[in-house]
Amino acid sequence: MDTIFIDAKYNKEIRLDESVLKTLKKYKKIALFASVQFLNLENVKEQLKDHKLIVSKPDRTNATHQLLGCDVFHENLKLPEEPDAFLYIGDGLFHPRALLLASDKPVIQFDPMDNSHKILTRKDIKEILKKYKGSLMKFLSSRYIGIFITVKPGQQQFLFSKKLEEKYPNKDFYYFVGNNFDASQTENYSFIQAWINTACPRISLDDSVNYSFPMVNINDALEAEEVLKKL
Amino acid sequence: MNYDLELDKLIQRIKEKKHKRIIIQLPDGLKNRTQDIVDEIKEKTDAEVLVWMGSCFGACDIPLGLSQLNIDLFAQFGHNRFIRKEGW
Repeated sequence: MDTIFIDAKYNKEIRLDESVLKTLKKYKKIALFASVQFLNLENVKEQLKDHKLIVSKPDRTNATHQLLGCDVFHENLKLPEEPDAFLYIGDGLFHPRALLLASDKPVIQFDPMDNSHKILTRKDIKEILKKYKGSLMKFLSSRYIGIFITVKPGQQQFLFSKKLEEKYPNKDFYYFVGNNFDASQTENYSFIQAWINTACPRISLDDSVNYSFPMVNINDALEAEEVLKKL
Repeated sequence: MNYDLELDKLIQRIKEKKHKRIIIQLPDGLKNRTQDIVDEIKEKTDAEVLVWMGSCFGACDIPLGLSQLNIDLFAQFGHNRFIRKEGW
């Protein structure tokens, strides 16, 4: 089967307005990111020439400055140095929230469609962080753990999840396979005390505030005590 | 419309490879363009166009089981190919 990806690029010029430029003035080092639609950043880079621009290409992306929703882990961002703030170009809050999850630095989101901007900080995700901290603690103290494995080709991490058995020999792990994660299905397995998510990490972060059960991302579970100290 | 759907590129690919049956997958923000996309492809090619009626969270979220429908071309909008890496 032949496969083609169509980026659906934003087809208008992207230029920062005076208001966001004023906001950015207080930050010297700025890491610039955008979703794939808004990667035409030449004007923006020119407008930021008085700042130190931090340039990176996160782990799974195809282009420099591109950000994916799953880039919620600091090491995935591949930053050559720590910025004072992030500038994200694009609409919506899903991608800039990934940066908030990956770093404690402020994120300025600029929407080129209506020339508006928002300043986001960790206060905007405090509910997520609070729930996640509780989930990590519950995971550490639980014996019966359910691991969710998706069949989605780009998210499937069955072999990687086996590392948990080496790291936590005193826990009992049960493997559950599905396509999309359906939280209501967990009610059928009431013996499970905590869940591990090996699919999209946003399931156990943004979505989990609506869950009654604890759920932790696989890589955080592998370093649960260290991650807890940072939260 | 603020986004370039590059239908010319897609149509050219269908003609070049003589694809008979294609399926498109759109993120929620572009699903309201389904009719325009399907109609234009049908008008300009002989291909049968199917629409994936499910999630489209990213390039990580490619539908499974398409081979059962003898699909020649799978086209996902709104994302680019990503680099698979184990361990988020």
